[in-house]
Amino acid sequence: MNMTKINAVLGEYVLPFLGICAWLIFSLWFASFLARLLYNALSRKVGPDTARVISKTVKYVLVVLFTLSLVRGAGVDVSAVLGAAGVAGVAIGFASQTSLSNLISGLFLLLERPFKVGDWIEVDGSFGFVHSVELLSSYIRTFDNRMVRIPNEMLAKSKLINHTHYPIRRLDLTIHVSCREDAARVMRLFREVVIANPLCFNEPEPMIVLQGFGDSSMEFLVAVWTERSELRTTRTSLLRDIKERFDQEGIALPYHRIRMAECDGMAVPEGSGKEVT
Amino acid sequence: MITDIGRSHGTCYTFRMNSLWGNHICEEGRDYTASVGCLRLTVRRIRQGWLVASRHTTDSAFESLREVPAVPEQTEWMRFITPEAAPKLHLTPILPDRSVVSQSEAHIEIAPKHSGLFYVTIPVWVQVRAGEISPVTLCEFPSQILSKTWFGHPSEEGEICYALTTRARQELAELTDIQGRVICPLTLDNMTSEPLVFGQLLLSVRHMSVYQTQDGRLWTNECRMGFAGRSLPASVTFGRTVPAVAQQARWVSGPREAPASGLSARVIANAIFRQPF
Repeated sequence: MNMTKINAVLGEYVLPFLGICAWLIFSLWFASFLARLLYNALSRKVGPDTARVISKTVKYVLVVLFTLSLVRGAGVDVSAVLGAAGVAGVAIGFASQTSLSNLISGLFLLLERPFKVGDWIEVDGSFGFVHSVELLSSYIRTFDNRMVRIPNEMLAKSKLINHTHYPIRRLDLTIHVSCREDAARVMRLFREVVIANPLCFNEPEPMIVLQGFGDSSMEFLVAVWTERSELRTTRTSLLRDIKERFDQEGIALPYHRIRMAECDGMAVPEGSGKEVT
Repeated sequence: MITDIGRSHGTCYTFRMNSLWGNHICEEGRDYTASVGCLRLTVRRIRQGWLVASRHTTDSAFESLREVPAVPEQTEWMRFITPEAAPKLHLTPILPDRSVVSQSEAHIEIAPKHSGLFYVTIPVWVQVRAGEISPVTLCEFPSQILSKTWFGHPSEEGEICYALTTRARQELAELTDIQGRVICPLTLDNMTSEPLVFGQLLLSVRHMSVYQTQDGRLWTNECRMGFAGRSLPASVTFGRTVPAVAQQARWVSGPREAPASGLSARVIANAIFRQPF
């Protein structure tokens, strides 16, 4: 192959190809750089979720614009390309309705802001902390450290419970006490235990209610307010305090006991089969 | 152990009440304990820093830092590695890390267009610092574990605070048995034509400094609250220097947080006054 042919190949194919590659690499780098700058600037003002979506949208728009400019630079009629893209867009839109629905749901979630990164939410039986909110789906990290991907459409359609929206939460404990005990005395003891526990708020006032009677027990509701981050600590601490106090005061917590009697060599439950003390 | 005496404007004070607050020289490998309210503080200087332990008891006491032959084996130490191996330990009285909701023990009413001066005492926190040239803060402990409470509506704006019941004493002579507590001179101005009930009051102690008089009493800046009506703005003003009733006091520790706009703020009355309905 002589030099003239090599030069012709270089000039006709290789150099334009290298130019296209360089342009694509630059455009991708520039779009990513600008998106990162935008994310850093916006994340403090509008929150990391919204900032991430905005920066990604800007990035993709930039990539499309750079690609169009490349096509135009190659001498292709952009209007024809756009027309073709429009037709293709309709076709793709029909084919990817779910993705579009997720995308639009994601935008609505960002506008509505029912939760933010770090919140403890419950959706469709999945519990966990919000890890990230992306364009099409959101990720939650479960308490046993698994990642759950939830399509944004499902988040928008399903019942969503945000357990950490408010800074304080009410903790409800249902406690059964033997019917033999004096209900008024039990309620007084509950109140004393709650007041002595520093994790339980004074205001809003704790609520102690005799809810009803079980098989052989009285059912009490002890509802106290506490800091949302201390919900579990408060539960443990309060149950421990109640148990200790009941032990001191000689108040029995009921439990099922089965008394067995021998009948023709076979052990069978006696009476109703259970005795509650 | 050697205890420094406090200095202010070149004047040396010998505190009559005790010498807990201030600087203490601790020898390496020796154990020292102090009592402030329900807090029992234990420290030991080690070669590379300090060991600090704390526990809370049900009884109240006030004892300066003193050497003890031994500490219980089950003491749960926190270890602090400090940049300098100086033997100097600073115990500083500071105010709680959250606002305090003060509720009057008795029913108090302020007549229309009238003011009342009350002395509200707040349990002190103990800040432990170590070092000579540039002391570092090791830890802080409350002298009394206060219950938490919520000031505001559960689903709207509010603040998690410490709950405090006050006798709202009005005479200095009535201020007895206040070791381990800081006195806050609080003036309530009732600018309305209706009586103002001292129900619950939000004290932003994070904006207050601590001063000490020669008799060992601890004081905060003066605080003045003006009530012009439930839905009208209330004024909260913090004094710039020592309170008028404790002119000889010296500055001990500064506010945790500077007030939002200078030393006074105007907030909606409901945000600081809560009256019984």
